[in-house]
Amino acid sequence: MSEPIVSARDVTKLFGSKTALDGVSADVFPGDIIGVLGKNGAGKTTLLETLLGFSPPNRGSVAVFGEDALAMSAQTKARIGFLPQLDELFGMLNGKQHLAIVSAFHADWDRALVERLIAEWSVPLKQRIDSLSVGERQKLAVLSALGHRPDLLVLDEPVASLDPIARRQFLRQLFAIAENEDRAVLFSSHIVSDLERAANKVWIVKDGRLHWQGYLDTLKESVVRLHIRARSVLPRDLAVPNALATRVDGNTAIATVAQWQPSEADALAKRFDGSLDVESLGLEDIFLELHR
Amino acid sequence: MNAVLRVWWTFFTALPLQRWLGGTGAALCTLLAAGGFVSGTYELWIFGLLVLFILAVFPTLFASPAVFRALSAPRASQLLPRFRARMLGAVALLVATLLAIFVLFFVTSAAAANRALPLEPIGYAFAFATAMFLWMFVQFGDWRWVWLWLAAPAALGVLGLLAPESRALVAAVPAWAWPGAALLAWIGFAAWYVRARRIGPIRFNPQPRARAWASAELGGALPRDVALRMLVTARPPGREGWALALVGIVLGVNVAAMSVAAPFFSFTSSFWPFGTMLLLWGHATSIVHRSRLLWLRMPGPRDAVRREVERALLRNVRGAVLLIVAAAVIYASPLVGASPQQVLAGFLLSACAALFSTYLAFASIPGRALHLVGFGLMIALQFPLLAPPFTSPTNVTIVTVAELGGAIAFRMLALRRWRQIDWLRLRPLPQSNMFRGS
Amino acid sequence: MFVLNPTSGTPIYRQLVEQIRRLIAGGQLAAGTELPSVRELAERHTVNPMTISKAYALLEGEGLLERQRGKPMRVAARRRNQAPLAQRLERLEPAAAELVLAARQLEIGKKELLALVGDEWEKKDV
Repeated sequence: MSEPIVSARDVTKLFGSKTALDGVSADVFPGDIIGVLGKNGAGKTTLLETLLGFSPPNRGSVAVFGEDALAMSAQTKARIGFLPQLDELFGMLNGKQHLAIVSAFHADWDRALVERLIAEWSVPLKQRIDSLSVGERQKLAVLSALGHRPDLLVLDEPVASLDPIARRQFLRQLFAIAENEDRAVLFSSHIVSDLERAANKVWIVKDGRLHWQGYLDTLKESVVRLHIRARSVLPRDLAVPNALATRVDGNTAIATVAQWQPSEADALAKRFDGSLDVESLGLEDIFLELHR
Repeated sequence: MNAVLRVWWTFFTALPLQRWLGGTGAALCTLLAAGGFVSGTYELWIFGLLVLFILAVFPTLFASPAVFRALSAPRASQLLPRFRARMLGAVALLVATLLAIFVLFFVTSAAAANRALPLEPIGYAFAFATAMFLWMFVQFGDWRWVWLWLAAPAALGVLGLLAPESRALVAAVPAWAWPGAALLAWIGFAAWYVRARRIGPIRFNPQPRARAWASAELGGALPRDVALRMLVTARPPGREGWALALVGIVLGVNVAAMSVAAPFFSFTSSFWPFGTMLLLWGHATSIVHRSRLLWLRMPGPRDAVRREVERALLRNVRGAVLLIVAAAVIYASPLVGASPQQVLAGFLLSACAALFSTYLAFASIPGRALHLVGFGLMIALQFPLLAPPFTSPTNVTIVTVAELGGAIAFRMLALRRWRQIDWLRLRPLPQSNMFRGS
Repeated sequence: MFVLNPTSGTPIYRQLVEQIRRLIAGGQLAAGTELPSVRELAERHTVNPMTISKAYALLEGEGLLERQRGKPMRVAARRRNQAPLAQRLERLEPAAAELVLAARQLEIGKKELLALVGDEWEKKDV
């Protein structure tokens, strides 16, 4: 296994009395496209920002490309692209000036790529940034983040304000970036369908902890909904192993379980003296079940 | 383009108005310089440089701290490699450029008058540019720093620096001490800038905390004017008492300071109109910005809304005029013993400056470019004409007329803009604490 | 050619694998047919190319697809003796279990079930 690009160890971040992050440990490896999912206020933005060294954690450490995130060298910074949730563009300038400034700071700015994307995404360049619509601003912010072909791309809700066409275009560009297996992308989004298309790994943030982290495919295969039909009435407090939530209604029960192994199906059906249907869940349903 | 050069170029060209004025200034300067070269006289050179100064240098001197802050504030900027160092490099280049133009101006003037090149003015110019830049940078973060400007005379008075003996001491300070102090200020600034975790964005709308709104008693039907005032000043009704008390204290302190400072500044020096303009800058801008909320929430034609806003702005001017009256009283008193003509002239000068600043803010509804440039141009007029060696009753009249004329012109522009502006195309206001939980 | 549903509970790679298997078994993908390249398929369905590669790699491991140098994957020639019967039977076990379960729920007896399967088999040869 190659060296992780980002490595967080036991990161804790407090804002006054509120615990935003609680002992988070995670790694980002080259080739990963990681989708970060979580309720509003769960700590997604804080996590992404702490990983990039924008706010020092109260405990724990973060290493980016082997360096401490709080003291990254200029070379390391040149390999990172960041898109914050509330885009912070240079509002008083127009798009052309903005990109001119950002590109001047990066030695290897891919001008051809940016110009192609400007045409493809119809990004207006002559108007003052403050007077652009939210979607146009977001597109411009995305361009600023990926124009220098970073090895680590961190995006906080990058497409929240884009229409479905623009989102598809963005995803395609994301895949083009990720084709290079030395790169990694970390992005948070509420648009679960985009995550399902793009991510190969998922981090689920809940109450400041990484509730689940791993491959998306594994997540889908391991969190399932069981439909139990028994011959006799089932007890109210039915104990299903690894159940996240159970609902009993006379003879039938619906239980959402994690860490499901298909081989357990037979044993369970026998135990409840009935039949068992296994329903696999989409990511949105999984997310809802994990937060019940 | 190299990052330092690119940022330096942006200082001069960030706002469209800057580009227009700067371009015109550069073109005119080139023409005049060419004319001077052809005719062999220095006057055209000097004039050309003066035009460049007024049209390109002064607006930039005022716009560049805003641009500097705007570029430094976003967090993504922290990820640009060697960002802070390069920004400082661009500022150094900016100051060098401004000084170079100034030096050129002085070289040609000296050559024209067949004098030796005086070095002191260059030192003073460096100190002045430094003070302006750093001061405006601080103010763009939170305009309430302007109160510090007015407290400066108080500090000076307290430190006894304004007594005649101390003035002699100050005059005896060697000319190189001023640029030396400026250099130290730059070093201190650079040290802070490189290390600061977060640079705040340009903020023109300071407001009471959300807690103040949470504890305000806003039940039942509010009288219309109370509601209007609340929306325009972003202050819950109960808090007005505090604000008035604060203003009273500051007023008192400043009056006391003025009584000590008065002998040092003539009532018609540029300190008074400049101070007045600066004092009204932030407040007037906040009111104008928040007037957008009024439009959305008030029934009636645009003119009715406009009249309410103008009323709020003039209430503001009234406060400033009170301050000027207090100053006039001090100047007329035996403490300073200025002549009645001087007192009247000074009062008119500052009062018209107050009107100018207010209507300039009013006209700058869509954008700050006009505001920054207009401000810069007026300063360009006030400082040279009212500086001690050059001041004269004629100059004072010129500046007063310019201020009044400017106020009338900007009022007409403001009225026209109000009628035509497309509110939906304006950028959204930063979220007011009024709409947030505590 | 393929229908991929990213929001389904079944992982995308699994959907693709099963569809290709079915098409090969049903004869719609004849031996030697070239499949779309990873990039092409990823672009058409706007999914992560890694998912497509994973599916292709899995099928290649099973011997259903073969890689050609510099060209896209193609369906492998059917080989008579690819995997031992026991192994192939094992592959079919889950489907058989599902079928038996459904039959029990519908209270269909073993004899009727075997007759049904026989009928289906007859249909296949057409």
